Amino acid sequence: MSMVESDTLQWSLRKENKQARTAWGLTAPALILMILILLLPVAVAGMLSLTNYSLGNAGFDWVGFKNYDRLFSRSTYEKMFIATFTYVVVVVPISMGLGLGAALLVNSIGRLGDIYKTIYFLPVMATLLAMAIVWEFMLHPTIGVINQTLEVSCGTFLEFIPFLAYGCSDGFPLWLGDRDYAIWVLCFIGIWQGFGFNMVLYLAGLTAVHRELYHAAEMDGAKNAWERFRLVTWPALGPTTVFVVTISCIRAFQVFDTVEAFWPQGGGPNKSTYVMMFAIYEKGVQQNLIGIGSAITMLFLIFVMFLTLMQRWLVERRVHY
Amino acid sequence: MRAVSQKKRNSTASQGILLLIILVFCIFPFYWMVTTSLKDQIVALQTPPAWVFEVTFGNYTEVLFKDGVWENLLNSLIIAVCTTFLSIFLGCPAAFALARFEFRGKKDLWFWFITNRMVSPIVLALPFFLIVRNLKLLDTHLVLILIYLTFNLPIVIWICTDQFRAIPRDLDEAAVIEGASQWRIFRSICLPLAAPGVAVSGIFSFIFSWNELMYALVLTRNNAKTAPAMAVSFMEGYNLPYGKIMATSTLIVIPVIIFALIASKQLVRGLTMGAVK
Repeated sequence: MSMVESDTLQWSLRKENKQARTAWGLTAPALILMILILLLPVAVAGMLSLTNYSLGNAGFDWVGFKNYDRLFSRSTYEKMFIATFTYVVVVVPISMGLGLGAALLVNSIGRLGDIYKTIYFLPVMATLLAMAIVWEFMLHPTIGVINQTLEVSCGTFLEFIPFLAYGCSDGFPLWLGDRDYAIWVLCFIGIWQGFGFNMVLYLAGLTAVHRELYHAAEMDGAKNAWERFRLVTWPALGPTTVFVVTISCIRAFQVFDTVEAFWPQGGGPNKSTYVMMFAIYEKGVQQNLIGIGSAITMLFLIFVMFLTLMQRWLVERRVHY
Repeated sequence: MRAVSQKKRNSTASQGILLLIILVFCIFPFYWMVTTSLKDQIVALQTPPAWVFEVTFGNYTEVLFKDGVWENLLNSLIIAVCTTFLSIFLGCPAAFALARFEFRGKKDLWFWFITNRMVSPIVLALPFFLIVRNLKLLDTHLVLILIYLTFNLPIVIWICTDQFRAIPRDLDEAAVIEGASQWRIFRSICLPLAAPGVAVSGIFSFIFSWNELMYALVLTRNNAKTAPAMAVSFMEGYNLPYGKIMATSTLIVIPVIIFALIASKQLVRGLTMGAVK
């Protein structure tokens, strides 16, 4: 509220009241819909996570925190946490780095950069499930284009690379069917899909970096490109980075489409790619264990809320320079 | 002097090479998808892969009409279009209010809309499933439309609020002096001026609804099954008909790619608006 003269106070208050009413009136439809569709289900999930409810049963028993207890004691769920966190920890920094690198490259070449930008952005927009199927075909152990291309190198000088030499004698990896590779392939596709989004965010961030700052840094003795990046670009991109990291984390936590496309049953070889979203779907919907599915949902929600609040806190602590 | 320009040329060349490598990395799966979909099944599975081949549209006709994928594509289209219109219809007034009016709780409301945009309701699949099942609404278009609305509304509000903010307030004030109501100002002045931004938010709504998989899997069976949910069921079993599968993928991806190519500049701006501020 701004400072107001005392004689106009009443008038302005009335005006403000009227404005507030109109504003709430305009926001109401969207707000009500979101409360109904968002808060209600959270409450339902929270309640169900304390029961052993399953569809078809007449009633259910309250089991307290037993479902949560199970999540932290069974090895399946240990694998679930490992797969989820491995995915997040690998995909977030690499897609951030690649996004930043691509943004700097695209930014440095001027007008032509627009074409690259558009193309790098395609995987972000394209239907992930459809692209996952394409990757599955390309990664097929025998008829996939990737292993077939690798085989071409057999018998050439390229065999000095240990990976190729090993593949030529003992066969190339099964990729998606291989418990040592599955999670890394999943990460790779996550990076392929997501880095363009980060690039776009960084490009927007770069437009806000003032030219004079570079001149000033040069005056201060930042001679080479790396110094200029370290002293000017990177700090100026602080707010963008916070945003990129939060949004990438949230997106990475939610990985589902690729896992569902590659391993519709069971979450990959040796459950190495049994990520949380998939676990919710498998337990709650496919196996009708709604209590445990809801418990995973609640944990998931807590992680994501934590990340969002963390971002807000970081932003409010002024990451601007 | 010469050394410097030589060095510069080298670095430009290496930049170009890097850009090209990333380009191939991005685009190769699309290329492979489209070419495989145009191959005969035998050619598609050939070893080594065929780079030059005879083009056939057999996969497309078979998938669309024999396997009935057109119905799923139609479902996807109905759901995406309805979601888009509804989210604009509900989102624009809210965005206008957030951009123009001061009122108590505005900051919290704004934060809440934005949080929802991040904590996308995808985690709520299970409670939705139960509620929807009890309401006997499983496998209807309506359910998916409503649910997609919840994650599209925040995006629409986010982008449109920025659009409305960019319109100078002088215009409103002039209209108020002329005696126009707030509704009139919204409809006749601000909405037309913000139209490009509104269109971008609409495209986003469309793409996100079109691409969604998890809810489609959980909440539909036959009637309202969307194209991505259908494509999943293609992947079961051995000796997969890869030509047909790639044709299905192409059909799913193409509308999105067209949008992304036509509106890429605006989409990028829409996504980054507010993000970097």
